[in-house]
Amino acid sequence: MNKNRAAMNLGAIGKIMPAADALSFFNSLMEAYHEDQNIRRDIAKIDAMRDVVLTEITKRYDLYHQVFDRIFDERKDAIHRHFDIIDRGIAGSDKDLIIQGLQGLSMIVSSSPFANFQELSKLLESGRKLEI
Amino acid sequence: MGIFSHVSANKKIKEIAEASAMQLAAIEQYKELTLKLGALDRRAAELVQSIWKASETFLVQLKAADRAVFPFGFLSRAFRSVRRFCGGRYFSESDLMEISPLLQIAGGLAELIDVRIIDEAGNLT
Repeated sequence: MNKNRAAMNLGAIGKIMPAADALSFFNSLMEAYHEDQNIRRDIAKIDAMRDVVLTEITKRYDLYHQVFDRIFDERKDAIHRHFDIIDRGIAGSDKDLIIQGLQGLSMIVSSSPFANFQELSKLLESGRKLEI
Repeated sequence: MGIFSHVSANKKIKEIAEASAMQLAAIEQYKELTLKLGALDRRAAELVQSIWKASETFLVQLKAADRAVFPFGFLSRAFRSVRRFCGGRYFSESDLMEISPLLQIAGGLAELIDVRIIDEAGNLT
């Protein structure tokens, strides 16, 4: 049935151009169609891979931000505790308390919040649960 | 003709893949820089607040020590000058007891001022 229809169509085309050219044209058209499909599939593959990597990057950096937020929040609390010690020292004219507060403050601020970053990165890469 | 178009398409796909990889690398670099800048901002803020607090403390203690050492202003200074002229010390033991904590506070302030937040290589410390 389909073969008859194709033959009829080929016959109709044959009136416009030679049947051999029509077949060659058709083959080129099919080849272009398949090429287009392959390109679309390859591009979709690239897009999918990009999305996966992008999601991974976004998640990793979101986690880094969260970890830094926690680290700096803890440092902020500790710094404010030492500010309170200093204030109490000033209010009570207690020089020892003031010096103690300043020494503690200096120790916190001098310590690097990034000291354990390598360790942290390894932990993140290993996918282990983080406890801050 | 078909082979040429196939080769050309593969070349284009390779270019797209490379552009995609470059795009991802740029996004990662951007995120890393944003993270570092955020951290640097917070580190600088905590340091500035601490220096401000320490300098304020130093000034408060300096005024208190000044009041304690020179309770009568000019007269106290004159008295100490006369004492030194007569062979004594300008500052008494009790004056030094008032002044010495100031040195410790100044030392703490200097330590805070000396804290480096970026090393020579531009890394956060």
